[in-house]
Amino acid sequence: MNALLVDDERLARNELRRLLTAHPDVTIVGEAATVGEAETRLRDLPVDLLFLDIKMPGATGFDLLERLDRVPLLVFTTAYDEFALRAFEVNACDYLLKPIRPDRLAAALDRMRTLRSAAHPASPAPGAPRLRSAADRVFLRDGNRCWIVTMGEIVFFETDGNYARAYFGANRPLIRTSLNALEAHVDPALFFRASRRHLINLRFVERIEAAADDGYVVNLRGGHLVPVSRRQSRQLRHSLGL
Amino acid sequence: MRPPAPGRAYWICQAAGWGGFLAYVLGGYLLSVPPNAVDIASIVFFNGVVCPAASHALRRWMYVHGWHQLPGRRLFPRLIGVVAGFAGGLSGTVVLGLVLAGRPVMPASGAFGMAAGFAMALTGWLTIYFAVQTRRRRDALQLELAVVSRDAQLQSLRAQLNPHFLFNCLNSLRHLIVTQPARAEVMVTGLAELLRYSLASDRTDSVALSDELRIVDEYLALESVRLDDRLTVERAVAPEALHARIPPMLIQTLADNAIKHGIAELPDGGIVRIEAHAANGRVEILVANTGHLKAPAANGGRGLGNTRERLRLIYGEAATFSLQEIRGTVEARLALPMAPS
Repeated sequence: MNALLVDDERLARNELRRLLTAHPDVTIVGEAATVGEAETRLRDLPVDLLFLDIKMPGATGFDLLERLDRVPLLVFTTAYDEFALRAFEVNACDYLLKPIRPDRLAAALDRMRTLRSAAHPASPAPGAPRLRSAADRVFLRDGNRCWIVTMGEIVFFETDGNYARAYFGANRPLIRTSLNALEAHVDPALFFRASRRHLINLRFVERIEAAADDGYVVNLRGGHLVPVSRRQSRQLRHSLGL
Repeated sequence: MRPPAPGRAYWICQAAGWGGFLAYVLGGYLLSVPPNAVDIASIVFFNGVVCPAASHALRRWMYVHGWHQLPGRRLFPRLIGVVAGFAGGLSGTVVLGLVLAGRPVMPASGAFGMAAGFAMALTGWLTIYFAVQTRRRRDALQLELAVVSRDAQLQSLRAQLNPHFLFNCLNSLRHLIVTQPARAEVMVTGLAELLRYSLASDRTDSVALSDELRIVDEYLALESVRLDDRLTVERAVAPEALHARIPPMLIQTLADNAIKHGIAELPDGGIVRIEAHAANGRVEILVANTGHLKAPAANGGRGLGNTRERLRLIYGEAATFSLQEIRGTVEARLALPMAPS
């Protein structure tokens, strides 16, 4: 696994580097001391595992995650604010408290290996931007709660003012991106713009029914109903291969 | 369970109250009928001796039986009973005395008037007594509350080491133990000093400025290990200021804020400057750092809010504290008396 170490303290990065020598399958491809540097490294280097400190100059680790199109396997490293991490759904990432215990590091790496073999594809090729596909993980934050979910888990996005809401499970966090921007970054084979207000995950479509007013209603798994125009419904059937 | 010894005010009230009552009754007697030595003696005895003695005994009785704690609806019937018993008993005794002495008994209206006089006198006594008691208890309670809350507030406002700093420090330390043992040794010693000082600060109200500054130096040395070359420390402390007594951890908190909200936020780091001067019995302290004051937390967040509150509780209006940004430098300024009063 290619790892990137992000921490503003040089000694903390060196210490992690030292601890990682016990795990030969982890290759450290780079380090970053600020969120800006980390963003550049993530764009330029093939990173599948990110060790991320939360408190850094000017911006937090969460700010970095929000800027990423896809989140690599993720292990937070923090001195004290693990409470901030309690907001996370537990399986999507792990966290280590500094000073890091070698056995906790080994356990976190085991978990990352499992996550990688289960859902994560091989390291993305750096450089060329790639559309978000089903296995890509994204970071979502709404107030104090945070999620890391794969695009495949999101049922649909809905416009809310200038932003959009992501619906998955029982959650519907507001994300600070317009529906148009979201649409431009996702794989069209996965997400379909059903209407001006909705971007739906084709994998969740159950059936399409005629509505009273000359249009159609898409039934999504989980009981969500999304209206589509006659023209869009033709396109939708085409996308679904019907 | 004896009542506490009464104070001077009690005796003055007793003497003035019953003395006044005696003068009133005796004056009325002398003005209405030709005086008679036996009558005068009995008036002096009943009004000037029995009444004060009875009220004094009543005070003790009420204290022993906890009447002060009774709610009004249980206290009032008791007091009415006491007043009626007192007035009836005294009047009955007077009438009985007249009968035994073979002297003409006064008409019923006269006996009632006498009983009413005694009743009013004791009612007046009780009114004053309970009013004073209530007021004193309320004052004592308020004082006690004020002391308790000030102690609790001061305790909760006591500055503690920032845990984030502490654990990051331990993390750096573990790395240095392997890579640079000599440096780790110095760092452990500094950290031990700082911890000892911080723990002792819970039991100390004031420390010499020189001790506080020594610990701030240790703290900044530890932070500069953590922050690499991002931290530069400047100091300008006048020797006469070193004797000032200040609350412990006061400057450490300001230095911690300067690092946390200032230097740690700057990728290229900056300067922390500490100054102290003494003039006119006051000490002026400055902790400045490169950086910007964040608009929403104009009071500097919780740490500095606590500092402000702590100074107010210890010094009242005598201490001043200000935080402002001047051209990319955040300045925390303190001015305190050389010693807390």
